[in-house]
Amino acid sequence: MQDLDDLFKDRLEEEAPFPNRSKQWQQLSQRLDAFDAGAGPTPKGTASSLPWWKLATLVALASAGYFAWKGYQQKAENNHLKVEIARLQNQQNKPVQEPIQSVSTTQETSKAQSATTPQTDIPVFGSTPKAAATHIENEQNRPTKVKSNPKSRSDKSPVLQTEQQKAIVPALSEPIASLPELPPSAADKQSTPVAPTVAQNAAAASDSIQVALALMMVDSLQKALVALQDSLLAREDKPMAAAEIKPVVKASGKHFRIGAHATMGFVLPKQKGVSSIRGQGISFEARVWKSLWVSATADWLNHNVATSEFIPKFHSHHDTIPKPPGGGGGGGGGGHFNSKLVLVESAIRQQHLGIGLRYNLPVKFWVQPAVRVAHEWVHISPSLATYKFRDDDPGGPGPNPHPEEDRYTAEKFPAKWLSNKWRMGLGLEKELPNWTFGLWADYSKDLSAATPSFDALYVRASAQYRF
Amino acid sequence: MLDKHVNLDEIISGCRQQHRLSQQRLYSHFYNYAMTVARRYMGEQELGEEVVNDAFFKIFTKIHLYSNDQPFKPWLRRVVVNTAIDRLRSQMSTPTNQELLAMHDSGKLSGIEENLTQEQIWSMLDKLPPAYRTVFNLAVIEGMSHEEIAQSLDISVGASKSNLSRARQFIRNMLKTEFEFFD
Repeated sequence: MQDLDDLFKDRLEEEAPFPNRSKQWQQLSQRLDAFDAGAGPTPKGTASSLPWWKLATLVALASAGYFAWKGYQQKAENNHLKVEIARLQNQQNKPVQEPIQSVSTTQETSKAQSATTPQTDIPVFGSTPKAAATHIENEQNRPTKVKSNPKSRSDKSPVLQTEQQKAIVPALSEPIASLPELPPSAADKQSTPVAPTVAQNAAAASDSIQVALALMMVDSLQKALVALQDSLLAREDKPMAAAEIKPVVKASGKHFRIGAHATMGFVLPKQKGVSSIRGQGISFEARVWKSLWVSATADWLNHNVATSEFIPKFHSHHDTIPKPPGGGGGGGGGGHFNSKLVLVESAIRQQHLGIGLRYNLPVKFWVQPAVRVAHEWVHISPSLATYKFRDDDPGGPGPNPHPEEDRYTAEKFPAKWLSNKWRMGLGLEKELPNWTFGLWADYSKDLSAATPSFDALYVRASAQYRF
Repeated sequence: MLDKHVNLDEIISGCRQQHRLSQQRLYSHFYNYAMTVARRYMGEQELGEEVVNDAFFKIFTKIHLYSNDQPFKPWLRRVVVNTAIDRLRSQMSTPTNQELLAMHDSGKLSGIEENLTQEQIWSMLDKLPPAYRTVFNLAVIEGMSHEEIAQSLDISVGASKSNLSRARQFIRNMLKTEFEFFD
């Protein structure tokens, strides 16, 4: 059997030419394009498809979603608490307002009576005993009206339970009790049975000054009681107000921010064969004055270049175009003087270090608009560029000596620093007590004349912690 | 065509960075080799092409698993073989004990086999049932033991031996009937 095995092994190991290579490659290339477009996981260490920038974006989005959800929850809880506080406040206000109404009713009654008897207060000194008696009568009626709801005052309301009130209430009644009785008026005779007695005693009393002093004391004490009630009510309202309005932690209290952001960018003007710029970064900001912040950022970005010609601004660290392989060779037909560069492919990785200023525009809205400007230093990592050359038909009789033959060469370029790049941005930020979420549009402009590089528009989604 | 001015390491380095041109160069360079391997297993060129593309897709998307310390060609061959086996695994059949007992290896080549062309060899291999062809390839061409074949194909060692015997028997019959090579 060894003969048979050896026969097959020898013959089948011989490498035979197979057709359809180009066609098969096209199919595979399309499959790889679809894969690179996000159809699946990407290998590690490739500049064009780093999984960790996607991870950073997902983390930022997840964080934004989480804090938005927390904010919504907090808001709902605040609303619930407000309703609860309002309900409790209403419950507490009901018994408190009753004495106020009683007092105000008393005051209104007094005023109404004063209107009918304008000589009640001041004219006492020079008034007739009859007028004074009317006033005393009115004052005697006041406690009766206040006591119309004695339960609410004594049981529910703490207002009248204070030591001050206990001292005041007897003082209100004592002068009245000690007053000499005055002769009743015509109205008094109809309304109250006490009036005749007072009128008889008043007739016996000749000292009207004593009566006037008593009335003054009653008035002043009544006013003091009303003021005391007001002050006590106001004192009770204070904690209610504090509970209803929660203290808001304002952004002005935070002076530093630190955070991360995901970036997507596009070269301007748009160039065919240049992919979008993707990456992520970190930032640190410090408030220098009111709404003015100084910021430091670091971005790690990458993009792919596959252009049909060598465009210097997309290959800032490539100094020269390489010669085609075998080019310039002498005899033997080895030289390819008609080779033409048809494709340049490279994966560019950049690190942007920026320092700048951010200013929050004085606009009050649920999101805060802001502008910023920064200077950037750009570090371009070492990269490998692949160049594809194609032999042109030299013309003349006979077929092309190198029909459809592509020739490749690759060169590795060292790292390079670029400066004088400026970034201007406009953004919207949503501030939570400890976090700020932002969406920014940044225009990056290269002002360097020494080394050409491209301009770009970046969109950044950021999450920052404030402290 | 792999240019002499650029070595394989540079191409692989480009593949690691997902350079399409580097991938194309690698594909072009090893296409015939990969097709030769895949074709042996699949029996048809179209199926071989599918296996080759599947294998290169794995290579390009998992190039980070390849270490520069080891030679690339055997690694590629391993990927192609495994891809082919994955395709064929479902077609593998387990013979019965009676089939195993019926298997016997006998006969020698008459020496005229040198006149066999490569096309005739391929033709015979293509006519083998997939299960026999796979085991025959793994055992004869790849030099794997029956234990390794059984592990690779997820079959028993006995089945591996059976398939190999039947593959050889099949080939002998073809040589006898079609080419009259056996004594």
